[in-house]
Amino acid sequence: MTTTAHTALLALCLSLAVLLGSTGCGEDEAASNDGKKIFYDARRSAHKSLDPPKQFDGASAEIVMNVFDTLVEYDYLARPYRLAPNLLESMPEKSADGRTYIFRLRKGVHFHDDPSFPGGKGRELNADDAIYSIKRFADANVNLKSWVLMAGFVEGLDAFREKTRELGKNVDYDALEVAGLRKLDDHSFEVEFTQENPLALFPFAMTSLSIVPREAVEKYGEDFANKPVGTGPFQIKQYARRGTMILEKNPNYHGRYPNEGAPGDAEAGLLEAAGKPIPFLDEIHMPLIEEPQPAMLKFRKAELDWIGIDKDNFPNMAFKAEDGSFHLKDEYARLYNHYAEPSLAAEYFAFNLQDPLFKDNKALRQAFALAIDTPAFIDLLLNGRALPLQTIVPQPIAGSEEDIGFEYYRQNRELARQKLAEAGYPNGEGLPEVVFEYRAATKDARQGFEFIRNELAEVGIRAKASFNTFSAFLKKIETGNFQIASSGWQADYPDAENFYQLVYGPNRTPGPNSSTFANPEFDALYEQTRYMENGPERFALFERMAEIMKDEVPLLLRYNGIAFGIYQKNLHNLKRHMLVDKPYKYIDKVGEPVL
Amino acid sequence: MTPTPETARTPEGAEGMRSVRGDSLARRAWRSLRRDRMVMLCFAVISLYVIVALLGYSGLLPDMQERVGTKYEAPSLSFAKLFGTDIFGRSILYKILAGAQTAMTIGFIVTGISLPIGISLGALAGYYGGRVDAVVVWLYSVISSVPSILLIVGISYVLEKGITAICIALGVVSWVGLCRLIRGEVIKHRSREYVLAVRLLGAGDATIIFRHILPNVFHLAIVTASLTILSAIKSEVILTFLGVGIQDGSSWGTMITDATGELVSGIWWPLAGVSLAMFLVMYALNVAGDALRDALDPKLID
Repeated sequence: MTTTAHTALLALCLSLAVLLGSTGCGEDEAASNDGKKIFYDARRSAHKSLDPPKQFDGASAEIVMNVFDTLVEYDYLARPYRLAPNLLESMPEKSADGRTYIFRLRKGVHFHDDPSFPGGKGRELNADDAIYSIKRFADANVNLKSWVLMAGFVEGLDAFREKTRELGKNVDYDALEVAGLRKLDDHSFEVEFTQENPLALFPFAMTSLSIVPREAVEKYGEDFANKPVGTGPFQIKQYARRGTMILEKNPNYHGRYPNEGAPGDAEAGLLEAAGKPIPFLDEIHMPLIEEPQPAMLKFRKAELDWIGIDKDNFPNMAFKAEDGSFHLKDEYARLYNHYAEPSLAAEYFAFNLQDPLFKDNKALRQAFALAIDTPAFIDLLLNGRALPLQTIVPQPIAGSEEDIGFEYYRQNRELARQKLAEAGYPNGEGLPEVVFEYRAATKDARQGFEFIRNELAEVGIRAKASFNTFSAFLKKIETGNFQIASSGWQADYPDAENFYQLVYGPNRTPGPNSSTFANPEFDALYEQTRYMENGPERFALFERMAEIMKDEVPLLLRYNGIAFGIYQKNLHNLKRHMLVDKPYKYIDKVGEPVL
Repeated sequence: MTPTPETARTPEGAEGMRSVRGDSLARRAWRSLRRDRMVMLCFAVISLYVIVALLGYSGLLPDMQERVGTKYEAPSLSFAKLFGTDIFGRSILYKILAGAQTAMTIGFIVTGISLPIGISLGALAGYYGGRVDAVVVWLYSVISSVPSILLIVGISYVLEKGITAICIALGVVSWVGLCRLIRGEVIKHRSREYVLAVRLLGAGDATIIFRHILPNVFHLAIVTASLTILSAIKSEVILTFLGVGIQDGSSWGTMITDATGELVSGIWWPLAGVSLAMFLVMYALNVAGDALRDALDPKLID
């Protein structure tokens, strides 16, 4: 449930931070590194917490995913995205009833060395740790943010959560059994799900459900968020919320580089490290640099190894070719490598169907959809770095337009005017000014709206915008106090269901269905496809769902962004994975960057 | 080496003053101001901005939303493209004019709010002293002890962002300086002979304050007003730059925000245009403020 949370930070805070000089300068690049492989990667914002179930923001997840391990993880190289075992020997085995899975833990995995263990030596991971971590994830006093992604999945876990809510803090988990979690032996346990559900294993790959050792959690209490102890590829060497966070290699890490990749990976040199023990890097230095320009200057001096190109630097350094592919300009292509990878996020305008203006006026909503030229928006304001959405499902996810061959509205002002007349407002006469709610008060939000405002004015619709802080925006959405909201949805897991649920009737506000769309046919189709395996049968139903969404326009679909990043030539094994933002454990650095 | 005109302070100026003794303060001031071309030029510039604002309100300014060209055209000699175009092909010049309208509106409204508050509270506190004074001093001490930019941000959140919020927020915080000045001056005046004389003649408090004392301290208000306009315009630009000010794009602050990114790509004209527009009005107001102080301050005249 993550409405895309990109930078709802106040410009004020940013500027004050700059004034206070706290933007992570004073770095220690100059320090001798004794032949160590040090990777420099800037953080864009400060993390909230490093205690896995207490965090659900990108900045925290970046660090948590490198300090802790999850039971299963996303396969680094495989596309489309799929799960692979991490702390498990193999993927969980489904039993005959289809609802129970056996999880077999990898043997010989040790926690980081820490004073909370006897003798300060990291203990071996066992099934109790996994069960403890799952219970802690479900504890209503600990996890306020990401529980919803597992709600209703595991037999007895929801009841456990209710119990913890009643009992208050520091519940003794041993005293509360969960029917669906059963320890088999020291290295295996089984999980009984409430129904046969192909989505059931995705939550086990979330950073929030990382495996934590009970000793450290109990010893450090609230302070565990600053002294994280896990089994991950790195451990904290220098903790700094605002300065430079330093991670150092866990010499006892259990993982190995994947043996197989997607087509083309071998040619790209991504399989040279196949089967080797990871991580390759000795240290990760993560200075906090909030503004894109200073980060880019550091990258250009090779003081950072990897960076996403911001909107303003893009036209100087890169271009989009006729065929839609992205390239660096020659002088930069010589220096850096790049990638362009479609994100798993959808951008859209949500119409509030409780608003008297939009309620029961399909033609009016269609007029909006026909008035706006999304490809032009992408070219002008996003450097072409986005794909127009044809269905609510972003392209890399199975069941998108790639699979069902669907086409959304294209700009047609003539038709838009007709629809407007049909809606009862010929040439916009009698139509009051509509208000767009934005989730940031940034330059990009404002310029984006100015484009939309002009497009609508061309067909006779007058619009104004209110630029909110992210929390104020969420409040307006949750209370239904808006007309049109500029919203986004970042995939929680790579399945189309995660996007179609945005307009599923029972998910209406305060759930994620903020337009409060309710269509019996759509809801029935959603329920039918929810737990289906991907395939032609499911895709055929998706097509009908996409048709309903196009006809009814509860959401005006816009685009899904393309992440474009560059990195120094001496980096190896970097493949952008949209669900694993910082795959430090696979990355290697050999030799010097090109200068 | 800013050529700040200091006519009144020169021996010639002082000479001139003496020769017209008996004239009203205003007439003497006007004479002294009129003599300096630079000051008159600055007043002309300010009037020009005021005229732009008035034209804007009568709907005679060109529409800043109109697309006059293509994306990012460099400045050329056609009127609309004198300062080039922005990302949507809109005229930078038109945007500057719309920004001038906003800036002048805010400058004058804020001054209109803060001046009466500052003068009346200052006069009351200074004249009555005692409890009234304590309350007023407490009030402005509290307001001035809160960092004003945070106070303004807070107020504009409560009132929903926009021009009304900015005007009220700035108006509420910007009377403090004037109030202090007036209070101090009135304390000095209330025990002067002329005040005692009027009181003996049976005049009431209101008459004494407004008919007799205020005219003697009013020059402070005029000088402060010119500086309040200046600082209100600056604050509006800063607040809008920070994203809590004007929301519809008709502000210089918005243009500066946009320019931060554009400058990296070599698009300098929006920033150049808006900087020029701001520089002119700021400079003119500064010079005018200085000149007014010099011309109106009785101490400098004598």
